[in-house]
Formats: sequence, C-alpha cells, structure tokens
Amino acid sequence: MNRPLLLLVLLLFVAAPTAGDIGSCGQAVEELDAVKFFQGKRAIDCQKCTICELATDYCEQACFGELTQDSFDPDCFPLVHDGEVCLSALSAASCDDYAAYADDLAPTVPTECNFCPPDLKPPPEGS
Amino acid sequence: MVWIRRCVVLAGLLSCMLSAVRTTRAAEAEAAPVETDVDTPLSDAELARFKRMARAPAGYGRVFMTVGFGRGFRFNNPFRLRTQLGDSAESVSLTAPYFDLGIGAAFGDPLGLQHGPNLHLAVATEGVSQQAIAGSYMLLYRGSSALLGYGRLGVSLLTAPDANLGGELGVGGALFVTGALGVTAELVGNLFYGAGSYEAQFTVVPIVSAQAGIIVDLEVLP
Repeated sequence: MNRPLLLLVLLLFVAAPTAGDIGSCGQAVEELDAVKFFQGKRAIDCQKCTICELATDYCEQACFGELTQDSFDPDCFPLVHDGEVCLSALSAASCDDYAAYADDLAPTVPTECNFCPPDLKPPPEGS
Repeated sequence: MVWIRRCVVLAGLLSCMLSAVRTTRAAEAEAAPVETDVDTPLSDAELARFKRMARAPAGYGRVFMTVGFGRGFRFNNPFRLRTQLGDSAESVSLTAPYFDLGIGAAFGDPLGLQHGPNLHLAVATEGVSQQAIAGSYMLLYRGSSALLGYGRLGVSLLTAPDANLGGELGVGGALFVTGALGVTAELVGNLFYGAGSYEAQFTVVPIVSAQAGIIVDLEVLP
C-alpha cells in the first residue's frame, strides 16, 4: 500500500470530540504499586531528559541514580489508572514542559501526576 | 343615389347579424362541456404511466464532507486531566483541541427534511495521543436559503489510550457561500463512562465541545 493511501486509511480508521485519558469503563479500582510506578516514571524522566537535552540534577538522578522513592505519602492512595494517566502525560509532554518538571530550583508537577492534592482521596476500605 | 344608400344600410345590417351569430357560437362553445370518456377504465399500463408521471422524482441525495477544529469542556475530571480550570478534580476542565473530519450522506426532500448516516473522525492535536470515531444518524433541514441545520445522535468510540464507548449528540448548522462550499459550526455533547475510582465503580464524564470548519456539499439530483 502506498504511503498517501496508508495515511488516508489510518486517518479514517484511527482517528468525534476527544475526551482525554478517562480510562475504560469497567477498569477495576486497584491501588497503584509505588515501586512499579516510580520505576516507570524514572525511565520516562531519563528518556525525556536525553531527548530534550536537559542537564539538571533531576535528570542526572533519573538516568544514573538509585531509585530513591518507593512509596507514596502516608495518606495518599492513588489508583492504577492514576499512574497510567501520569505516565501517559509525561510521555506526551513537550520539551518545554519537561524543562519545568526537571527544574532543580522550582520543579512543577503536571496535574495528572499530582496524586494527592489537598482534597485527598479517601483510603480504600480495609486498608 | 337612393339605391346606393339602400345598399350601405343592407351591408351594415348583414355585418351586425354576422357578428351576433359569431358571438353566440363562441359563447355556446365556451359553455359546452368537454366530451371526455370518463366511464372508460384506464388500462394497467396507462395507470402505471400516470402514477409514474405523478410521482415526485426519486433519487435525490446529498453527500458532504466537513473539516474542522474543536475543543471541549469536561464536566468531571477524577484523574486530573489537563487543563483544569478550577482547583479541584470536580471543576470544569478543557479537553485537548482536536481535528475533526466528517463525512455523511442524506436523503429526502430537497427543500425540506432529509436524513442519513454520518461519520466523524477526530484526532487530539496536543497532549496524550487520542483518536475518536463517531457514527451517528442525522436529521437535517435545508430550505431554499443558504442555511442548513442539523442534529445527529450516535455513539463515539475512543481508540486510545484506552478503548471506550460513549454516546454522542450533535447540533449544528452551515452557511453556504457558494452552492457547494460553506462554513459550519457544531455543538457536540458526549457522555462517557470512565475508569472506576474510590467514589464510583465507573466515573461519568460529560463533555460539551464546540467545533467549526468548512463543509463541502454535493447534491445528487435524480
């Protein structure tokens, strides 16, 4: 199949308003594994730092340092989909955005990764 | 000379009489009923021919394509998707801008109500990659003016990052600047059921979007 036709087919079949990463209906309510999450995040951080040519302590830690964070804040219980949303947002972030995330002096956090805003989620029952 | 005068008077009388006869015959002709053979039944072939002639021309339709851009407001945002407009997850947030391609066809009254299928394909233009396909059935009205109005009801399928299926309701219109080319605008409402949270087994995400663009409309005449 030639390239223009392939692009047309892709446009037709992989392309109505977009909702964002709202997840699938019926996705289980499952607590996010902190270690898996931070490992995945570190990999993305390092990849983005390399692509965007960022040379900050944050980036150095992401690429060459040990995994320093392996748990969430005591009152924070994010779900698996919270983690997926965060990692997707980081992967899709622009270099300008990432420069702000990886800034050593005043780093910012994308809203998708701000798991424990002041209005905390209640912990799951039985935890 | 007397005989000449008598001849003139006689000619005048004759002329008057002829004129009166003509007028009477014309009036009679007008008043006489047209002789028709109303009692003779039509043959099947004749009846079919008359029905065919009396029927409105069939086969009218229109095919159109729309290209546009849009953006939506999300009225529930449990996963803090960007762009939040308020402080909390419950606040209204903006969806990513999207490019929309629509194709459709409609059949019916050329100067009235028409209906037909419609397909919209949208791609998010920033942020997390996402595509959506909406199939809907449309009811539209095109009168003799340059305006066209429509409403459509269908479903929208999100293909990424996670598959999801929602309902879609659209109301829009177009203003044609030429016979086939116009500008279009549409208000689209969506309802999706997203991933579960601690508060709900599945989250309800209503979205209202506005999009605008260009419409190319081709009429298919009978």
